[in-house]
Amino acid sequence: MRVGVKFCGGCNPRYDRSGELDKILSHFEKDSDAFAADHAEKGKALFGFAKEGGAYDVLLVICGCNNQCASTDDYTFGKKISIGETGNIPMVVRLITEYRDEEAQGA
Amino acid sequence: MALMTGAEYIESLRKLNTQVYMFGQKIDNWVDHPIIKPSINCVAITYDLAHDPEYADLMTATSNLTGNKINRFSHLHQSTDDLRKKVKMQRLLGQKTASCFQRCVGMDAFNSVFSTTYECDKVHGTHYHENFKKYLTYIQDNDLIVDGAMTDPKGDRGLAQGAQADPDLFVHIVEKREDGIVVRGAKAHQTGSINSHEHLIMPTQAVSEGDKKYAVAFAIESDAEGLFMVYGRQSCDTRKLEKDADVDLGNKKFGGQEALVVFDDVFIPNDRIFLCEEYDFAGMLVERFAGYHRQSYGGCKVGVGDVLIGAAALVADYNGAQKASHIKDKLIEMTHLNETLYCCGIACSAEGYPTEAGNYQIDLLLANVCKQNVTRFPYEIVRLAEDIAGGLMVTMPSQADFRSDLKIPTKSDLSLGEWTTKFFKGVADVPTENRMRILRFIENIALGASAVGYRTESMHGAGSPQAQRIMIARQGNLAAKKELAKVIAGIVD
Ligand SMILES: Cc1cc2nc3c(=O)[nH]c(=O)nc-3n(C[C@H](O)[C@H](O)[C@H](O)COP(=O)(O)OP(=O)(O)OC[C@H]3O[C@@H](n4cnc5c(N)ncnc54)[C@H](O)[C@@H]3O)c2cc1C
Ligand code: SF4
Repeated sequence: MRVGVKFCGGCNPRYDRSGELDKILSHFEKDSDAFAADHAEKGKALFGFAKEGGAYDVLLVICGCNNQCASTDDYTFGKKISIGETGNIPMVVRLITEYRDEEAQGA
Repeated sequence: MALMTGAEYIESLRKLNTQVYMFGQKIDNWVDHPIIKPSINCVAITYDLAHDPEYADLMTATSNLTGNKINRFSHLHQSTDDLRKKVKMQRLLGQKTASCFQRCVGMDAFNSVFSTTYECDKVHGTHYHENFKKYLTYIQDNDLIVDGAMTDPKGDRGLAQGAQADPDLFVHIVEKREDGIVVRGAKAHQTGSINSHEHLIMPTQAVSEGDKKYAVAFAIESDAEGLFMVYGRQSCDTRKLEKDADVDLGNKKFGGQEALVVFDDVFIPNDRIFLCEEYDFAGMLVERFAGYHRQSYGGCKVGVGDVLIGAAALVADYNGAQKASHIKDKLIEMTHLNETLYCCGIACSAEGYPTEAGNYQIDLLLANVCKQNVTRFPYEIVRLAEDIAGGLMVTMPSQADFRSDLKIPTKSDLSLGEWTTKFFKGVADVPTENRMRILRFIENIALGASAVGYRTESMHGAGSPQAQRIMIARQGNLAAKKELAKVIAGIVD
């Protein structure tokens, strides 16, 4: 499963957005030890920065505040998880785990 | 061409043959000149952040002209969302540089020339809009920096263009040829002009029929024949020439830049002309540019304010005063003022509307209110920062003293560095140098080189306070407000 990571532009973030990503990634270390994965593997959540025009199973949008103004028009994706202010790591981890396991079971 | 990196931008400047003068001399290698370098670094970061996934959403946009990904600074705003993202991008860059990053004037000029040429062509049957679209496509495709040049030297402020003792005090057409025009005059206070690839020239004020040779807008390369620039010096600028002065500089890496740009009979080919004697459109162009630029300050100055508030909070920590209730309250007040400016920038963007040409214009009344606040609040924010900092920000010895091994022949036999480090320590667990660094940073913004951008530019850039008051009076609709009061009060005339 490919997880594309997209940041908002970060004009006035209320928390450390890349720090939050690191924390999320730490929950999926077993799936992949490399960020910027450009391929998909069933049963594994492989993360990478979303590239313009790219297709992702999950688009993870990390926004600095609840305005969540990041644009996602340039990507195609199955599911989208967008986070605003901090405190959402458990929710993100739960959702990505669910999507990953659902995909693995579907195989 | 893909978006340039900061390094590629700096290399692109080396290829220009721009004529620069400073301190009475011609500066051949201005790209590496220590006084100019910080302003080049500032522009370079507008390129680098466009490649950074953490910031690209604000720093880039999709061109309506070509469909390509471009730097947002070259973008024609396509929606109120674009207008808001512009302000957010400017706040971000203010935070990253604590300086004027110089690329906004060009962006504001693009958007105002785009819509004005469209309307001018409709009335006069001219073809300036096509000229401009072609020009902007070239700028976007090559990711170039353009100085948005409006302000003339203006001579006697009480006289119109044509009534000046010296006709060159406003840029004007001196010759019309088959293939173009020849222009003469100068533009003063030009932000980032030396490290721009191009200049986009607009009239400085409305023009009457008798003065129509002053109604001229055009684009010109920085190294065109007959064009030269004189660097505007800044407070404390020669500190940049000192060796090992990074503490004393306050902001070693970044800074702003203004220069006088002189046109001594410069030829402008037809396809780079966007207004040529259509005096009835000069006022529209000025008003639109000023409107966009008044919006801009609701972003860039807020970003610098963010850093200054952070610095004031840090110095309070280093001084051991952070728990005092009045210090906490002053930091709240600084934040309140800063966010109020941001509110204005966002509000005039959210209330934007499409022009006839299709790009989006800000709400003029709210943009003028935004800039009017900018002429005041940064002064109060900086006053509070100076209050919190204490007097040392202007009385401390130099970095050379703090680093000196020179033994002082007194009983303790300590060096000059040891003495100064000892006596300028604040709280015990913070190195003296950190305290000095943050104090010098505040000095830099309050009355050093960056005060140009944070204070005086806030006052006069995009128009002096009275210019906004005139617009507020014009847009305020006092007559309707009187009617409201009459209805509620039951007054029937
Ligand atoms: C740091 C900085 C950066 C700038 N960058 C740019 C730039 O990139 N591009 C650009 O085009 N311009 C730029 N400007 C210029 C800016 O727009 C002008 O400074 C502003 O329009 C005021 O003009 P002035 O400085 O000539 O002051 P003046 O016009 O001399 O104004 C001084 C005072 O006199 C008053 N005054 C002037 N004329 C009259 C009159 N006729 N009647 C009544 N009162 C009058 C003003 O209201 C003001 O109070 C910049 C300015 C600064 C300070
Ligand atoms: S989501 Fe919030 S922090 Fe991020 S760019 Fe938008 S407004 Fe700024």
